[in-house]
Amino acid sequence: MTGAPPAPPRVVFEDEQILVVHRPGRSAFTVVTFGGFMLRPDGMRIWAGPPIGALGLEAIGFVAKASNWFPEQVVARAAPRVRATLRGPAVGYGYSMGGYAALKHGRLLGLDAALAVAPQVSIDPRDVPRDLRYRAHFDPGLHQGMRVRPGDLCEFPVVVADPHFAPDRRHVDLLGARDRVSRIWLPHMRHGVIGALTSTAVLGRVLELLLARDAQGIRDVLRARRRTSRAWHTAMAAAATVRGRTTLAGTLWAGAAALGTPSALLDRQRMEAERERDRALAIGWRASALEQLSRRLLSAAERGDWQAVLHVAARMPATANTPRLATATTHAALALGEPAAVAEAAAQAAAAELPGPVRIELGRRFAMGGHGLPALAVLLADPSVLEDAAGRASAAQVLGAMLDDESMPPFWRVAMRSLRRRVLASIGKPGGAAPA
Amino acid sequence: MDAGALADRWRALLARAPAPGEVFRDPRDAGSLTATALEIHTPAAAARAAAILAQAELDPATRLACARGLAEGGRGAEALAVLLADPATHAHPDAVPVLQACLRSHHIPRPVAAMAWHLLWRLNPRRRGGGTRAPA
Repeated sequence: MTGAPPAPPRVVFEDEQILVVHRPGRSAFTVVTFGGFMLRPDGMRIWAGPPIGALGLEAIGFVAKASNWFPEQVVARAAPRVRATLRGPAVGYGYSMGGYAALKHGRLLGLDAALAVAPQVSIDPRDVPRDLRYRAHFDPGLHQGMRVRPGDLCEFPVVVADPHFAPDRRHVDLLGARDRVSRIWLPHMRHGVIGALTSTAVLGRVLELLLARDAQGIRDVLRARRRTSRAWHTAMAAAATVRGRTTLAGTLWAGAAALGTPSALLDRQRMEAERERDRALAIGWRASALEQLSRRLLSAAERGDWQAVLHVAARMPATANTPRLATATTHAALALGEPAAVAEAAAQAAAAELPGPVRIELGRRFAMGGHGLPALAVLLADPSVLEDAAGRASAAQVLGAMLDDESMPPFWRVAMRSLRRRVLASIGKPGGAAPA
Repeated sequence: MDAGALADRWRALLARAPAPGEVFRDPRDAGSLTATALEIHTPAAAARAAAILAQAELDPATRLACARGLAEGGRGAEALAVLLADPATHAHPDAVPVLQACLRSHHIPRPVAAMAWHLLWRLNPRRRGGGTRAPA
Protein backbone atom coordinates (compact mmCIF):
# COMPACT_ATOMS: atom_id res chain seq x y z
CA MET A 1 0.00 0.00 0.00
CA THR A 2 1.12 3.59 -0.59
CA GLY A 3 0.93 6.37 1.96
CA ALA A 4 -0.62 9.02 -0.32
CA PRO A 5 -4.16 10.14 0.68
CA PRO A 6 -6.76 8.90 -1.81
CA ALA A 7 -8.40 11.32 -4.26
CA PRO A 8 -12.20 11.79 -4.08
CA PRO A 9 -14.44 9.31 -5.93
CA ARG A 10 -15.49 10.13 -9.50
CA VAL A 11 -17.72 8.77 -12.23
CA VAL A 12 -15.68 6.96 -14.90
CA PHE A 13 -18.57 6.08 -17.19
CA GLU A 14 -22.32 6.46 -17.29
CA ASP A 15 -25.06 5.64 -19.78
CA GLU A 16 -28.73 4.66 -19.53
CA GLN A 17 -27.85 1.14 -18.29
CA ILE A 18 -24.91 1.45 -15.90
CA LEU A 19 -22.83 3.78 -13.75
CA VAL A 20 -19.13 3.13 -13.13
CA VAL A 21 -17.53 4.80 -10.13
CA HIS A 22 -13.82 5.02 -9.34
CA ARG A 23 -13.04 5.13 -5.61
CA PRO A 24 -9.30 5.68 -5.22
CA GLY A 25 -7.54 3.82 -2.43
CA ARG A 26 -4.03 3.04 -1.23
CA SER A 27 -3.65 -0.55 -2.45
CA ALA A 28 -1.26 -1.61 -5.21
CA PHE A 29 -4.08 -3.50 -6.91
CA THR A 30 -7.63 -2.61 -7.97
CA VAL A 31 -10.82 -4.32 -6.91
CA VAL A 32 -13.58 -4.13 -9.54
CA THR A 33 -16.99 -4.80 -7.97
CA PHE A 34 -20.27 -5.49 -9.70
CA GLY A 35 -23.50 -4.55 -7.97
CA GLY A 36 -26.19 -7.11 -7.41
CA PHE A 37 -29.77 -7.42 -8.50
CA MET A 38 -31.10 -4.84 -6.02
CA LEU A 39 -28.37 -2.19 -5.97
CA ARG A 40 -29.05 1.03 -7.87
CA PRO A 41 -26.90 4.15 -8.30
CA ASP A 42 -26.80 6.31 -5.19
CA GLY A 43 -24.13 9.00 -5.42
CA MET A 44 -20.69 7.41 -5.33
CA ARG A 45 -21.92 4.21 -3.65
CA ILE A 46 -20.52 0.93 -4.97
CA TRP A 47 -21.26 -2.67 -4.06
CA ALA A 48 -19.14 -3.93 -1.09
CA GLY A 49 -18.08 -0.30 -0.60
CA PRO A 50 -17.87 -0.33 3.24
CA PRO A 51 -15.36 -3.23 3.67
CA ILE A 52 -13.38 -2.04 0.63
CA GLY A 53 -13.28 1.47 2.08
CA ALA A 54 -12.24 0.10 5.50
CA LEU A 55 -9.42 -1.86 3.85
CA GLY A 56 -8.37 1.26 1.90
CA LEU A 57 -8.49 -0.56 -1.43
CA GLU A 58 -8.35 1.06 -4.84
CA ALA A 59 -11.77 0.23 -6.32
CA ILE A 60 -13.94 0.59 -9.38
CA GLY A 61 -17.63 -0.19 -8.94
CA PHE A 62 -20.12 -1.12 -11.65
CA VAL A 63 -23.67 -0.26 -10.59
CA ALA A 64 -26.62 -1.24 -12.80
CA LYS A 65 -29.53 1.15 -13.34
CA ALA A 66 -31.88 -1.85 -13.74
CA SER A 67 -31.71 -5.60 -13.20
CA ASN A 68 -29.98 -5.84 -16.57
CA TRP A 69 -27.16 -8.37 -15.94
CA PHE A 70 -24.57 -5.86 -17.22
CA PRO A 71 -25.04 -6.43 -20.97
CA GLU A 72 -21.87 -7.07 -22.92
CA GLN A 73 -22.32 -4.22 -25.41
CA VAL A 74 -22.79 -1.74 -22.53
CA VAL A 75 -19.74 -2.96 -20.59
CA ALA A 76 -17.73 -2.94 -23.84
CA ARG A 77 -18.43 0.81 -24.16
CA ALA A 78 -17.19 1.39 -20.60
CA ALA A 79 -14.20 -0.97 -20.88
CA PRO A 80 -11.59 1.41 -22.42
CA ARG A 81 -12.10 3.98 -19.64
CA VAL A 82 -12.12 1.28 -16.95
CA ARG A 83 -8.93 -0.33 -18.26
CA ALA A 84 -7.26 3.08 -18.37
CA THR A 85 -8.21 3.61 -14.70
CA LEU A 86 -6.96 0.27 -13.35
CA ARG A 87 -3.90 0.49 -11.12
CA GLY A 88 -1.78 -2.62 -10.82
CA PRO A 89 -3.35 -6.05 -11.09
CA ALA A 90 -7.15 -6.11 -11.03
CA VAL A 91 -9.51 -8.52 -9.29
CA GLY A 92 -13.24 -8.72 -9.98
CA TYR A 93 -15.74 -9.39 -7.20
CA GLY A 94 -19.50 -9.81 -7.48
CA TYR A 95 -22.49 -11.70 -6.13
CA SER A 96 -25.31 -13.31 -8.13
CA MET A 97 -25.94 -10.88 -11.04
CA GLY A 98 -22.64 -9.20 -10.11
CA GLY A 99 -20.94 -12.61 -10.04
CA TYR A 100 -22.13 -13.16 -13.60
CA ALA A 101 -20.53 -9.88 -14.66
CA ALA A 102 -17.25 -10.69 -12.87
CA LEU A 103 -17.02 -13.87 -14.94
CA LYS A 104 -18.48 -12.63 -18.23
CA HIS A 105 -16.45 -9.44 -18.52
CA GLY A 106 -13.20 -10.69 -16.96
CA ARG A 107 -11.16 -10.66 -20.14
CA LEU A 108 -12.96 -7.62 -21.61
CA LEU A 109 -12.03 -5.49 -18.59
CA GLY A 110 -8.51 -6.88 -18.25
CA LEU A 111 -9.07 -8.53 -14.86
CA ASP A 112 -6.36 -10.85 -13.53
CA ALA A 113 -8.65 -12.80 -11.20
CA ALA A 114 -12.33 -12.86 -10.28
CA LEU A 115 -14.36 -14.01 -7.29
CA ALA A 116 -17.92 -14.79 -8.35
CA VAL A 117 -20.27 -15.65 -5.50
CA ALA A 118 -23.41 -17.67 -6.42
CA PRO A 119 -23.23 -16.42 -10.03
CA GLN A 120 -25.44 -17.18 -13.00
CA VAL A 121 -23.88 -18.20 -16.31
CA SER A 122 -26.86 -16.76 -18.18
CA ILE A 123 -30.53 -15.91 -17.70
CA ASP A 124 -31.39 -16.80 -21.29
CA PRO A 125 -34.09 -19.54 -21.15
CA ARG A 126 -32.28 -21.37 -23.97
CA ASP A 127 -29.19 -21.70 -21.76
CA VAL A 128 -30.92 -22.37 -18.44
CA PRO A 129 -34.43 -23.63 -19.22
CA ARG A 130 -35.08 -24.82 -15.65
CA ASP A 131 -34.15 -21.60 -13.87
CA LEU A 132 -37.24 -19.40 -13.69
CA ARG A 133 -35.90 -17.07 -10.99
CA TYR A 134 -34.72 -14.28 -13.26
CA ARG A 135 -36.52 -15.07 -16.50
CA ALA A 136 -38.66 -11.95 -16.27
CA HIS A 137 -35.45 -9.91 -16.65
CA PHE A 138 -34.28 -11.64 -19.82
CA ASP A 139 -34.38 -9.18 -22.71
CA PRO A 140 -33.53 -10.66 -26.13
CA GLY A 141 -32.51 -7.19 -27.31
CA LEU A 142 -29.88 -6.83 -24.58
CA HIS A 143 -28.89 -10.40 -23.85
CA GLN A 144 -27.99 -12.07 -27.16
CA GLY A 145 -25.06 -14.45 -26.56
CA MET A 146 -25.01 -13.62 -22.87
CA ARG A 147 -23.84 -17.02 -21.64
CA VAL A 148 -20.41 -17.03 -20.02
CA ARG A 149 -17.98 -18.79 -22.39
CA PRO A 150 -14.41 -19.94 -21.62
CA GLY A 151 -13.06 -17.10 -23.78
CA ASP A 152 -14.84 -14.50 -21.60
CA LEU A 153 -13.08 -15.51 -18.39
CA CYS A 154 -10.12 -13.83 -16.79
CA GLU A 155 -7.05 -15.94 -16.08
CA PHE A 156 -7.99 -17.00 -12.54
CA PRO A 157 -11.74 -17.20 -11.95
CA VAL A 158 -13.04 -18.61 -8.65
CA VAL A 159 -16.67 -19.44 -7.94
CA VAL A 160 -18.22 -19.79 -4.48
CA ALA A 161 -21.58 -21.58 -4.25
CA ASP A 162 -23.71 -24.08 -2.35
CA PRO A 163 -23.27 -27.46 -4.10
CA HIS A 164 -26.62 -28.74 -2.80
CA PHE A 165 -28.67 -25.73 -3.91
CA ALA A 166 -29.71 -27.00 -7.34
CA PRO A 167 -30.66 -23.65 -8.98
CA ASP A 168 -27.16 -22.27 -8.34
CA ARG A 169 -25.35 -25.58 -8.81
CA ARG A 170 -26.70 -25.95 -12.35
CA HIS A 171 -25.12 -22.60 -13.29
CA VAL A 172 -21.74 -23.56 -11.84
CA ASP A 173 -21.83 -26.91 -13.66
CA LEU A 174 -22.23 -25.05 -16.96
CA LEU A 175 -19.02 -23.11 -16.38
CA GLY A 176 -16.75 -25.79 -17.74
CA ALA A 177 -13.69 -27.62 -16.52
CA ARG A 178 -12.56 -27.41 -12.88
CA ASP A 179 -8.98 -26.72 -13.91
CA ARG A 180 -10.22 -23.57 -15.66
CA VAL A 181 -12.66 -22.32 -13.02
CA SER A 182 -11.95 -23.09 -9.34
CA ARG A 183 -14.98 -24.07 -7.27
CA ILE A 184 -15.34 -23.44 -3.57
CA TRP A 185 -18.34 -25.23 -2.12
CA LEU A 186 -20.08 -23.90 0.99
CA PRO A 187 -22.88 -26.41 1.65
CA HIS A 188 -26.34 -25.53 2.99
CA MET A 189 -26.01 -21.76 2.52
CA ARG A 190 -28.23 -21.79 -0.57
CA HIS A 191 -28.13 -18.49 -2.50
CA GLY A 192 -26.92 -16.74 0.67
CA VAL A 193 -23.28 -17.90 0.40
CA ILE A 194 -22.26 -14.25 0.32
CA GLY A 195 -22.84 -14.36 4.09
CA ALA A 196 -19.47 -16.14 4.38
CA LEU A 197 -17.68 -13.02 3.07
CA THR A 198 -19.37 -10.30 5.08
CA SER A 199 -16.39 -9.79 7.42
CA THR A 200 -13.96 -7.06 6.37
CA ALA A 201 -10.96 -9.09 7.57
CA VAL A 202 -12.10 -12.19 5.71
CA LEU A 203 -12.69 -10.23 2.50
CA GLY A 204 -9.24 -8.63 2.75
CA ARG A 205 -7.56 -12.00 3.23
CA VAL A 206 -9.57 -13.61 0.40
CA LEU A 207 -8.68 -10.83 -2.03
CA GLU A 208 -4.98 -11.23 -1.18
CA LEU A 209 -5.22 -14.98 -1.80
CA LEU A 210 -7.09 -14.31 -5.04
CA LEU A 211 -4.22 -12.16 -6.25
CA ALA A 212 -1.82 -14.93 -5.23
CA ARG A 213 -4.01 -17.39 -7.21
CA ASP A 214 -4.41 -19.60 -4.16
CA ALA A 215 -7.84 -21.23 -4.41
CA GLN A 216 -7.03 -23.74 -1.66
CA GLY A 217 -6.12 -20.85 0.65
CA ILE A 218 -9.47 -19.13 -0.07
CA ARG A 219 -11.28 -22.41 0.59
CA ASP A 220 -9.51 -22.78 3.97
CA VAL A 221 -10.30 -19.20 5.01
CA LEU A 222 -13.99 -19.50 4.11
CA ARG A 223 -14.38 -22.89 5.77
CA ALA A 224 -12.63 -21.72 8.95
CA ARG A 225 -14.84 -18.65 8.91
CA ARG A 226 -17.93 -20.84 9.27
CA ARG A 227 -17.41 -21.29 13.00
CA THR A 228 -17.72 -17.58 13.63
CA SER A 229 -20.18 -16.71 10.87
CA ARG A 230 -23.73 -15.69 11.78
CA ALA A 231 -24.80 -16.37 8.18
CA TRP A 232 -23.35 -19.90 8.29
CA HIS A 233 -25.02 -20.68 11.63
CA THR A 234 -28.45 -19.46 10.49
CA ALA A 235 -28.15 -21.26 7.13
CA MET A 236 -27.13 -24.53 8.80
CA ALA A 237 -29.83 -24.15 11.46
CA ALA A 238 -32.43 -23.64 8.73
CA ALA A 239 -31.14 -26.70 6.82
CA ALA A 240 -31.27 -28.85 9.98
CA THR A 241 -34.80 -27.60 10.74
CA VAL A 242 -36.02 -28.45 7.23
CA ARG A 243 -34.59 -31.97 7.62
CA GLY A 244 -36.29 -32.44 11.00
CA ARG A 245 -33.00 -32.64 12.96
CA THR A 246 -34.41 -30.78 15.92
CA THR A 247 -31.53 -31.10 18.40
CA LEU A 248 -28.85 -30.01 15.93
CA ALA A 249 -31.11 -27.20 14.71
CA GLY A 250 -31.57 -25.97 18.31
CA THR A 251 -27.80 -25.86 18.87
CA LEU A 252 -27.23 -23.95 15.64
CA TRP A 253 -30.04 -21.43 16.26
CA ALA A 254 -28.52 -20.84 19.71
CA GLY A 255 -25.08 -20.42 18.11
CA ALA A 256 -26.47 -17.84 15.66
CA ALA A 257 -28.03 -15.93 18.56
CA ALA A 258 -24.78 -16.06 20.58
CA LEU A 259 -22.92 -14.56 17.59
CA GLY A 260 -25.26 -11.56 17.73
CA THR A 261 -27.87 -12.31 15.04
CA PRO A 262 -30.85 -9.99 15.77
CA SER A 263 -33.65 -12.00 17.41
CA ALA A 264 -36.32 -10.67 15.00
CA LEU A 265 -34.29 -11.94 12.04
CA LEU A 266 -33.71 -15.29 13.75
CA ASP A 267 -37.43 -15.68 14.49
CA ARG A 268 -38.33 -14.96 10.87
CA GLN A 269 -35.75 -17.37 9.45
CA ARG A 270 -36.75 -20.06 11.91
CA MET A 271 -40.41 -19.69 10.99
CA GLU A 272 -39.61 -19.85 7.26
CA ALA A 273 -37.54 -23.01 7.78
CA GLU A 274 -40.35 -24.63 9.78
CA ARG A 275 -42.83 -23.75 7.05
CA GLU A 276 -40.53 -25.27 4.42
CA ARG A 277 -40.20 -28.43 6.53
CA ASP A 278 -44.03 -28.70 6.77
CA ARG A 279 -44.36 -28.19 3.03
CA ALA A 280 -41.78 -30.90 2.31
CA LEU A 281 -43.62 -33.30 4.62
CA ALA A 282 -46.95 -32.52 2.90
CA ILE A 283 -45.51 -33.07 -0.58
CA GLY A 284 -43.94 -36.36 0.50
CA TRP A 285 -47.20 -37.49 2.05
CA ARG A 286 -49.18 -36.50 -1.04
CA ALA A 287 -46.87 -38.36 -3.41
CA SER A 288 -46.94 -41.54 -1.35
CA ALA A 289 -50.74 -41.31 -0.86
CA LEU A 290 -51.26 -40.92 -4.61
CA GLU A 291 -49.01 -43.89 -5.30
CA GLN A 292 -50.99 -45.99 -2.85
CA LEU A 293 -54.33 -44.93 -4.39
CA SER A 294 -53.04 -45.72 -7.90
CA ARG A 295 -52.04 -49.22 -6.80
CA ARG A 296 -55.44 -49.80 -5.18
CA LEU A 297 -57.27 -48.60 -8.29
CA LEU A 298 -55.32 -50.86 -10.64
CA SER A 299 -55.66 -53.84 -8.34
CA ALA A 300 -59.46 -53.31 -8.13
CA ALA A 301 -59.56 -53.11 -11.94
CA GLU A 302 -57.68 -56.43 -12.18
CA ARG A 303 -60.25 -58.02 -9.87
CA GLY A 304 -63.08 -56.51 -11.93
CA ASP A 305 -64.38 -54.67 -8.85
CA TRP A 306 -65.74 -51.68 -10.78
CA GLN A 307 -67.39 -50.03 -7.79
CA ALA A 308 -64.06 -50.03 -5.98
CA VAL A 309 -62.30 -48.58 -9.03
CA LEU A 310 -64.74 -45.66 -9.16
CA HIS A 311 -64.59 -45.22 -5.38
CA VAL A 312 -60.79 -44.87 -5.47
CA ALA A 313 -60.87 -42.71 -8.63
CA ALA A 314 -63.22 -40.25 -6.90
CA ARG A 315 -60.58 -39.71 -4.20
CA MET A 316 -57.80 -38.90 -6.67
CA PRO A 317 -57.22 -35.52 -8.29
CA ALA A 318 -58.13 -35.88 -11.97
CA THR A 319 -54.86 -34.28 -13.06
CA ALA A 320 -52.96 -37.14 -11.36
CA ASN A 321 -54.50 -39.61 -13.82
CA THR A 322 -52.12 -41.62 -15.97
CA PRO A 323 -53.27 -43.30 -19.21
CA ARG A 324 -53.56 -46.63 -17.33
CA LEU A 325 -55.65 -45.13 -14.53
CA ALA A 326 -57.91 -43.20 -16.93
CA THR A 327 -58.42 -46.34 -19.02
CA ALA A 328 -59.27 -48.43 -15.95
CA THR A 329 -61.73 -45.78 -14.69
CA THR A 330 -63.40 -45.50 -18.11
CA HIS A 331 -63.70 -49.26 -18.32
CA ALA A 332 -65.24 -49.44 -14.84
CA ALA A 333 -67.77 -46.67 -15.55
CA LEU A 334 -68.82 -48.23 -18.85
CA ALA A 335 -69.10 -51.67 -17.26
CA LEU A 336 -71.44 -50.31 -14.59
CA GLY A 337 -73.26 -48.09 -17.07
CA GLU A 338 -74.60 -45.65 -14.45
CA PRO A 339 -74.96 -42.21 -16.06
CA ALA A 340 -73.42 -40.40 -13.07
CA ALA A 341 -70.42 -42.74 -13.06
CA VAL A 342 -69.98 -42.37 -16.82
CA ALA A 343 -70.15 -38.58 -16.57
CA GLU A 344 -67.60 -38.58 -13.75
CA ALA A 345 -65.19 -40.89 -15.59
CA ALA A 346 -65.47 -38.73 -18.72
CA ALA A 347 -64.76 -35.59 -16.67
CA GLN A 348 -61.69 -37.30 -15.18
CA ALA A 349 -60.43 -38.33 -18.63
CA ALA A 350 -61.05 -34.79 -19.95
CA ALA A 351 -58.84 -33.43 -17.18
CA ALA A 352 -56.04 -36.00 -17.48
CA GLU A 353 -52.94 -35.25 -19.55
CA LEU A 354 -53.18 -38.08 -22.08
CA PRO A 355 -51.31 -38.82 -25.31
CA GLY A 356 -53.53 -38.16 -28.35
CA PRO A 357 -54.07 -41.84 -29.28
CA VAL A 358 -55.14 -42.68 -25.70
CA ARG A 359 -57.59 -39.76 -25.61
CA ILE A 360 -59.08 -40.81 -28.95
CA GLU A 361 -59.36 -44.43 -27.79
CA LEU A 362 -61.16 -43.43 -24.58
CA GLY A 363 -63.48 -41.19 -26.60
CA ARG A 364 -64.18 -44.14 -28.88
CA ARG A 365 -65.07 -46.37 -25.92
CA PHE A 366 -67.57 -43.84 -24.57
CA ALA A 367 -69.02 -43.34 -28.07
CA MET A 368 -69.34 -47.10 -28.69
CA GLY A 369 -71.07 -47.41 -25.32
CA GLY A 370 -73.71 -44.98 -26.56
CA HIS A 371 -72.51 -42.03 -24.44
CA GLY A 372 -72.23 -39.22 -26.97
CA LEU A 373 -71.65 -36.21 -24.72
CA PRO A 374 -69.09 -37.97 -22.48
CA ALA A 375 -67.27 -39.07 -25.67
CA LEU A 376 -67.31 -35.50 -26.95
CA ALA A 377 -65.98 -34.24 -23.61
CA VAL A 378 -63.03 -36.65 -23.61
CA LEU A 379 -62.18 -36.16 -27.27
CA LEU A 380 -62.36 -32.37 -27.51
CA ALA A 381 -60.83 -31.45 -24.13
CA ASP A 382 -57.40 -31.21 -25.74
CA PRO A 383 -57.01 -29.17 -28.96
CA SER A 384 -53.84 -31.09 -29.89
CA VAL A 385 -55.98 -34.16 -30.73
CA LEU A 386 -56.94 -32.57 -34.07
CA GLU A 387 -53.48 -31.21 -34.86
CA ASP A 388 -52.24 -33.91 -37.24
CA ALA A 389 -53.85 -35.87 -40.07
CA ALA A 390 -53.67 -39.24 -38.28
CA GLY A 391 -55.37 -37.79 -35.20
CA ARG A 392 -58.02 -36.15 -37.36
CA ALA A 393 -58.80 -39.40 -39.18
CA SER A 394 -59.22 -41.30 -35.90
CA ALA A 395 -61.21 -38.48 -34.32
CA ALA A 396 -63.57 -38.45 -37.31
CA GLN A 397 -64.35 -42.12 -36.66
CA VAL A 398 -65.16 -41.35 -33.02
CA LEU A 399 -67.36 -38.41 -34.09
CA GLY A 400 -69.20 -40.77 -36.43
CA ALA A 401 -69.76 -43.28 -33.61
CA MET A 402 -70.96 -40.47 -31.34
CA LEU A 403 -73.83 -39.72 -33.72
CA ASP A 404 -75.34 -43.10 -32.87
CA ASP A 405 -76.34 -41.71 -29.47
CA GLU A 406 -79.83 -40.48 -30.25
CA SER A 407 -80.27 -39.10 -26.75
CA MET A 408 -77.81 -36.29 -27.54
CA PRO A 409 -79.55 -32.91 -27.90
CA PRO A 410 -80.14 -32.23 -31.63
CA PHE A 411 -77.93 -29.11 -31.72
CA TRP A 412 -75.01 -31.18 -30.37
CA ARG A 413 -75.63 -33.85 -32.99
CA VAL A 414 -75.61 -31.20 -35.74
CA ALA A 415 -72.46 -29.66 -34.32
CA MET A 416 -70.61 -32.98 -34.13
CA ARG A 417 -71.77 -33.96 -37.64
CA SER A 418 -70.49 -30.61 -38.91
CA LEU A 419 -67.20 -31.02 -37.08
CA ARG A 420 -66.78 -34.49 -38.57
CA ARG A 421 -67.46 -33.12 -42.06
CA ARG A 422 -64.88 -30.36 -41.62
CA VAL A 423 -62.30 -32.74 -40.15
CA LEU A 424 -62.72 -35.15 -43.07
CA ALA A 425 -62.53 -32.27 -45.57
CA SER A 426 -59.28 -31.10 -43.98
CA ILE A 427 -57.63 -34.48 -44.65
CA GLY A 428 -59.23 -34.94 -48.08
CA LYS A 429 -61.36 -37.92 -47.04
CA PRO A 430 -64.79 -38.72 -48.55
CA GLY A 431 -67.65 -37.28 -46.52
CA GLY A 432 -65.86 -34.00 -46.13
CA ALA A 433 -66.74 -32.37 -49.44
CA ALA A 434 -70.50 -32.43 -49.17
CA PRO A 435 -72.55 -31.90 -46.03
CA ALA A 436 -73.34 -35.17 -44.31
CA MET B 1 -90.14 -4.95 -30.39
CA ASP B 2 -93.54 -6.60 -29.98
CA ALA B 3 -93.92 -10.38 -30.02
CA GLY B 4 -95.41 -10.42 -33.51
CA ALA B 5 -92.57 -8.44 -35.07
CA LEU B 6 -90.01 -10.62 -33.26
CA ALA B 7 -91.68 -13.77 -34.56
CA ASP B 8 -91.73 -12.32 -38.09
CA ARG B 9 -88.04 -11.49 -37.91
CA TRP B 10 -87.24 -14.97 -36.59
CA ARG B 11 -89.21 -16.63 -39.38
CA ALA B 12 -87.46 -14.46 -41.97
CA LEU B 13 -84.05 -15.35 -40.59
CA LEU B 14 -84.90 -19.05 -40.58
CA ALA B 15 -86.12 -18.79 -44.16
CA ARG B 16 -82.82 -17.21 -45.21
CA ALA B 17 -80.70 -19.63 -43.15
CA PRO B 18 -78.03 -21.39 -45.23
CA ALA B 19 -78.10 -25.11 -45.90
CA PRO B 20 -75.39 -27.21 -44.17
CA GLY B 21 -71.96 -26.32 -45.49
CA GLU B 22 -73.13 -23.09 -47.12
CA VAL B 23 -72.53 -19.48 -46.17
CA PHE B 24 -75.05 -16.83 -45.08
CA ARG B 25 -76.05 -14.81 -48.11
CA ASP B 26 -76.08 -11.72 -45.91
CA PRO B 27 -73.10 -12.01 -43.50
CA ARG B 28 -74.98 -9.91 -40.93
CA ASP B 29 -77.61 -12.65 -40.59
CA ALA B 30 -75.36 -14.79 -38.37
CA GLY B 31 -75.27 -12.07 -35.73
CA SER B 32 -78.97 -11.27 -36.15
CA LEU B 33 -79.87 -14.94 -35.74
CA THR B 34 -77.90 -15.10 -32.48
CA ALA B 35 -79.42 -11.88 -31.13
CA THR B 36 -82.97 -12.78 -32.12
CA ALA B 37 -82.72 -16.26 -30.59
CA LEU B 38 -81.59 -14.70 -27.32
CA GLU B 39 -84.39 -12.12 -27.52
CA ILE B 40 -86.98 -14.87 -27.99
CA HIS B 41 -85.48 -16.34 -24.86
CA THR B 42 -86.54 -19.96 -25.23
CA PRO B 43 -84.25 -23.02 -25.18
CA ALA B 44 -85.75 -24.13 -28.48
CA ALA B 45 -84.83 -20.88 -30.25
CA ALA B 46 -81.26 -21.00 -28.89
CA ALA B 47 -80.90 -24.65 -29.91
CA ARG B 48 -82.20 -23.90 -33.40
CA ALA B 49 -79.82 -20.98 -33.84
CA ALA B 50 -76.92 -23.09 -32.53
CA ALA B 51 -77.70 -25.87 -35.03
CA ILE B 52 -77.82 -23.43 -37.96
CA LEU B 53 -74.61 -21.69 -36.90
CA ALA B 54 -72.81 -24.99 -36.28
CA GLN B 55 -73.44 -26.31 -39.77
CA ALA B 56 -73.08 -23.02 -41.68
CA GLU B 57 -69.69 -22.03 -43.08
CA LEU B 58 -68.55 -19.03 -41.03
CA ASP B 59 -65.22 -17.32 -40.83
CA PRO B 60 -63.57 -17.93 -37.44
CA ALA B 61 -64.16 -14.37 -36.20
CA THR B 62 -67.90 -14.56 -36.89
CA ARG B 63 -68.18 -18.03 -35.34
CA LEU B 64 -66.35 -16.86 -32.23
CA ALA B 65 -68.53 -13.74 -31.99
CA CYS B 66 -71.77 -15.74 -32.34
CA ALA B 67 -70.61 -18.30 -29.77
CA ARG B 68 -69.65 -15.54 -27.38
CA GLY B 69 -73.04 -13.88 -27.86
CA LEU B 70 -74.83 -17.11 -26.99
CA ALA B 71 -72.58 -17.74 -24.00
CA GLU B 72 -73.04 -14.24 -22.63
CA GLY B 73 -76.79 -14.65 -23.14
CA GLY B 74 -76.67 -17.63 -20.77
CA ARG B 75 -76.72 -20.36 -23.44
CA GLY B 76 -73.35 -21.97 -22.63
CA ALA B 77 -74.04 -25.41 -24.09
CA GLU B 78 -75.34 -23.98 -27.39
CA ALA B 79 -72.34 -21.65 -27.53
CA LEU B 80 -69.96 -24.59 -27.08
CA ALA B 81 -71.70 -26.47 -29.89
CA VAL B 82 -71.16 -23.51 -32.25
CA LEU B 83 -67.54 -23.08 -31.14
CA LEU B 84 -66.56 -26.76 -31.35
CA ALA B 85 -68.23 -27.42 -34.69
CA ASP B 86 -65.17 -26.14 -36.53
CA PRO B 87 -61.58 -27.26 -35.80
CA ALA B 88 -60.44 -23.72 -36.65
CA THR B 89 -62.27 -22.25 -33.64
CA HIS B 90 -61.86 -25.26 -31.33
CA ALA B 91 -58.15 -24.50 -30.96
CA HIS B 92 -58.33 -20.74 -31.61
CA PRO B 93 -56.58 -18.53 -29.02
CA ASP B 94 -59.60 -16.19 -29.09
CA ALA B 95 -61.77 -19.08 -27.89
CA VAL B 96 -60.52 -18.33 -24.37
CA PRO B 97 -63.05 -15.53 -23.55
CA VAL B 98 -65.82 -17.58 -25.18
CA LEU B 99 -65.03 -20.57 -22.99
CA GLN B 100 -64.86 -18.32 -19.94
CA ALA B 101 -68.33 -16.98 -20.75
CA CYS B 102 -69.64 -20.53 -21.34
CA LEU B 103 -68.41 -21.62 -17.92
CA ARG B 104 -70.34 -18.77 -16.29
CA SER B 105 -73.64 -20.04 -17.66
CA HIS B 106 -75.69 -22.79 -16.04
CA HIS B 107 -77.11 -26.12 -17.17
CA ILE B 108 -74.00 -27.44 -18.95
CA PRO B 109 -73.78 -31.22 -18.46
CA ARG B 110 -70.97 -32.25 -16.09
CA PRO B 111 -68.56 -33.87 -18.59
CA VAL B 112 -69.06 -31.03 -21.11
CA ALA B 113 -68.36 -28.42 -18.43
CA ALA B 114 -65.19 -30.35 -17.44
CA MET B 115 -64.19 -30.44 -21.10
CA ALA B 116 -64.72 -26.66 -21.44
CA TRP B 117 -62.69 -25.98 -18.31
CA HIS B 118 -59.75 -28.13 -19.38
CA LEU B 119 -59.86 -26.88 -22.96
CA LEU B 120 -59.70 -23.35 -21.57
CA TRP B 121 -56.73 -24.36 -19.39
CA ARG B 122 -54.93 -25.92 -22.35
CA LEU B 123 -55.52 -22.87 -24.57
CA ASN B 124 -54.33 -20.50 -21.86
CA PRO B 125 -51.54 -18.43 -23.48
CA ARG B 126 -49.45 -18.25 -20.31
CA ARG B 127 -49.50 -22.04 -20.08
CA ARG B 128 -48.68 -22.42 -23.77
CA GLY B 129 -45.72 -20.09 -23.47
CA GLY B 130 -44.32 -21.90 -20.45
CA GLY B 131 -45.14 -18.95 -18.20
CA THR B 132 -42.93 -16.69 -16.19
CA ARG B 133 -42.53 -16.25 -12.50
CA ALA B 134 -41.61 -13.33 -10.36
CA PRO B 135 -37.88 -13.17 -9.75
CA ALA B 136 -36.50 -14.87 -6.65
